[in-house]
Amino acid sequence: MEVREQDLRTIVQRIGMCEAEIGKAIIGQKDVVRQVILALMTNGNVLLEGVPGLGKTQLVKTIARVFDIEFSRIQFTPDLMPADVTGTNLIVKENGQNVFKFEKGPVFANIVLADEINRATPKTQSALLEAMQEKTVTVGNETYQLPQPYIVLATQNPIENEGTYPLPEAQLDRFLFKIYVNFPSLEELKQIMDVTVTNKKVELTPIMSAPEILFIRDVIREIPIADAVNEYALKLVVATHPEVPGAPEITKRYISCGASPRAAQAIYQTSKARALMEGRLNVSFDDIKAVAYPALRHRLALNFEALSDGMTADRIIHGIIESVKI
Amino acid sequence: MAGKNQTTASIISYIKSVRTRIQVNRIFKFFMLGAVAGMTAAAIANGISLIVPFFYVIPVSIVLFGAGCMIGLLIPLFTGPSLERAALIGDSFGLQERVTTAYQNRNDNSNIAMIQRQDTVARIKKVSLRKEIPFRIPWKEFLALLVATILTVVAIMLPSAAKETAQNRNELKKLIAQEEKKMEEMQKEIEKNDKLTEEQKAELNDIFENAKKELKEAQSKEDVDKVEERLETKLAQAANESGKQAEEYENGKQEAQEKLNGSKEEQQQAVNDLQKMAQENHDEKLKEIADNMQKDLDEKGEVSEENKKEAEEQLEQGSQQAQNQQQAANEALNQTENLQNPPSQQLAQNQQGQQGQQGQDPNGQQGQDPNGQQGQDPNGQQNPNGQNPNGQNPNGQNPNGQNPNGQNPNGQNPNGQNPNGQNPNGQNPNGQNPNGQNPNGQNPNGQNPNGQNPNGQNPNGQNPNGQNPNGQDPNGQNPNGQNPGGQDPNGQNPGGGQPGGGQPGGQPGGQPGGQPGGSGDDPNGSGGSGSGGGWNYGSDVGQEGLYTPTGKEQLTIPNVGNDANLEGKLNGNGSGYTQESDQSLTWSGNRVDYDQVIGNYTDQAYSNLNNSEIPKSMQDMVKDYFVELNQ
Repeated sequence: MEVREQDLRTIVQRIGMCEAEIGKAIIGQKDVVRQVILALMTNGNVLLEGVPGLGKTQLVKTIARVFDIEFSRIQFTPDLMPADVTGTNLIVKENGQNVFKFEKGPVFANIVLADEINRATPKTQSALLEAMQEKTVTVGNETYQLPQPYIVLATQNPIENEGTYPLPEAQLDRFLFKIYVNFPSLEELKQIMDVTVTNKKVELTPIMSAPEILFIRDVIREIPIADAVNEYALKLVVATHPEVPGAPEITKRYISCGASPRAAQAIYQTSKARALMEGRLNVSFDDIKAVAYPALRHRLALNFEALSDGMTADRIIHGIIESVKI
Repeated sequence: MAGKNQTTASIISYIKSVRTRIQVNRIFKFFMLGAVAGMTAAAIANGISLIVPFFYVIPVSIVLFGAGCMIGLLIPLFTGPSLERAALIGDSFGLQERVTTAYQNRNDNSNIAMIQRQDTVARIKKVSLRKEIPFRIPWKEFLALLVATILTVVAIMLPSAAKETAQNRNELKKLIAQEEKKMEEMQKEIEKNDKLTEEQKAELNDIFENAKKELKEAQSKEDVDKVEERLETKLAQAANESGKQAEEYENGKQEAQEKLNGSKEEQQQAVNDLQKMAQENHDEKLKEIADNMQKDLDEKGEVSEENKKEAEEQLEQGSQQAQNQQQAANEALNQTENLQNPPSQQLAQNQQGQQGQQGQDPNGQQGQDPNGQQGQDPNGQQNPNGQNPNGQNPNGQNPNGQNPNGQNPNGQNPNGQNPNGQNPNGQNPNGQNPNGQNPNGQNPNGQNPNGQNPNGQNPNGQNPNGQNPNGQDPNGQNPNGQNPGGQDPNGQNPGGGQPGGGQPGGQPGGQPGGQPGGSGDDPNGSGGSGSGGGWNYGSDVGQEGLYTPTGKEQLTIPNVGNDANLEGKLNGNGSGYTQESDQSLTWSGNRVDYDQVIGNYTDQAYSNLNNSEIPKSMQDMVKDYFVELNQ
């Protein structure tokens, strides 16, 4: 693929413009926005974790608007059925005859917000997870392609665990990133109030389109990565496994099961995207370190000692980054 | 393409610049570290040398320091960073792995790779390597080097007993090596000597080999001296035995000549004697001849002329071989004795000997003083006992038994030989014990049954060096020609000084010979005008002739001497008094029975002991000596 320098500059510029545009409607949350964009640019899905009311739905809506892609929202409840997610065949009268017609479910959109995914039953969760992984939906005997670009942003409430169905590790592993949505600061809160409870209207302009997103994805794959940087990324993933000789002490102490190769793929792809967004045409160690947190935090199975010591995944990842030498 | 090459070249140039600067700093640092390590090791070595003897500590210190510097220099040369590593280091100045990626993909011709390289080149131009990788002087290492150097210098400058010990050990080692070398040279000369048989050579070589073995075990100079003493003794024994053997052959030859021309019984006796001689000397040829003679006697009743002649030739040959061995042993002995006297000492002794040749002994005794006055001691004064105001006894000994210049009456060198003529090891120069017995148990006169002393001394008791075993001739006269009481055996008293002992002058052993005797009251007018003397330790080539007692005393002088003092010149500074007498025991060769003189000799000795200030231990030694003599 031939990439011109002008194209690269344009990409960097337009991504910057998108961030700025999103920033009009979403106050603060710069890292969250950037990471969601990274996931969008690398064909990944995101698990957003935050208390209710932090603007997760608003974020997805805004991204959809700025990138000019179709948006849908699924509110997961315990009684939600898979067909409610994927769609189902309905009997309709067509030309005097009763025929089955597939009615697409809400999953058929470019960007899908799966709200409180942990409230739905595993069966319903799995219906969405097939769409996330395969980018297809199978209903009956037919398989339907989902539109491209396709990204699922699932949300979890960290507080309410009563009556929920936590996603199993195997399912969590399919998410590219797990992003924490934190409570905004006072200043950000003021701005949020200013935007949301006043008559001020925020007009968002579409900056990018779906084809452009696809093009950017191709360009990102061309970004070179040096062997030393690549090796560093892989060392980080290997260092999450306590059974490996030479694993850091923190890994041996708090992790029962390390990250899968999908984590390495996630780090690999998203670091390239980040490098491009930074205006560079090569991946650096900083890129690796930056994407390591969202890529690994949901892929580490912590043991009881971590829970009892109050050790979080981010602290463990920080310890691993400190111990692995370049 | 040209652009691509240029960007690649720029990137590589940048990487190499980074590597060079890193390497220079590493060389500085490692060199200093190596120097510090080397100097610290040197300081430790020198510190250890203050406690443990270590002679080569300074060369070792230099080697350690040099090795440390060299290793410090070589390590960075061989372990410098690779270009990839240098690229990573170059990226750490805010380039975010641009250089590493560009260098890795320098051969990638895709658009994005080229754009990435161009971006890298644009960025590296903004990096100042002088600021990012400055040349640093390793001050800490420099200070450490300074401290280590000071410690080393202090350790070198501090004196200690261990250093002295190391010095002494090194000198001993050199001395031993020197001695060994000389012994090997002597062995080579023995090997080259065509006149010796293989057995004789082996016998002499064994003596040297044993001496070399003992030398290796020597722990001090005294041990080395002892080894040489023993070597000398063994060589003297070998020479003596060879002399005996030669004489035996010679006597045997004469007897055989007489008896073989006699009756049948006399011939038989001669044959028996020859057989016995052959057996004792392991002479197969002689045994064969004797057997043939016996056969002649049995068959013909008389020995054939042919066998007689063969026997005579064999005996002559045996005698000659024994003489050759004796000569070789004596030569080796002479060279060995030279080993004991380093050139400086020998020079001093030679100078003293020269004084003696001129009629002066080193003490100015024997009737002549350095001022040339007769009958005066060196100080020009006399006391009734013949002692000079310095307390020198008539023997010329000072109260501590030494001559004024530190020599004892035996003329031994000033290196501490005792008044009895014993060397510091307690032996007389020819190995005699203080009782006057030589190591072979020979009579106190120091004579062997043949009239020779173990070291080939003549019946006068002179060793090849011309010294008497106890510094005295068999008549009890000291080298000064004085008897212990200051009188000669003929009743000479110290007189106005020291009586002339009439010693045969010209003693090649460095006796203060040539001293005119008979000064003062010499009842018999005996005295000797000595000739020769001085401190010559014998010629290198001369050999002693065999001694055959003829009823008169004979003096043996080495045939060849290379010292002028052998000519025995009188002192030219003053007048000398000489008196010749044909009744002198040592000059004319009269022999007096031992029993006739021992009593007087003993009395005079005791008298002098009472009147002298010899240390008590020495007095006891003298008394013990005479006790043994009188037993």
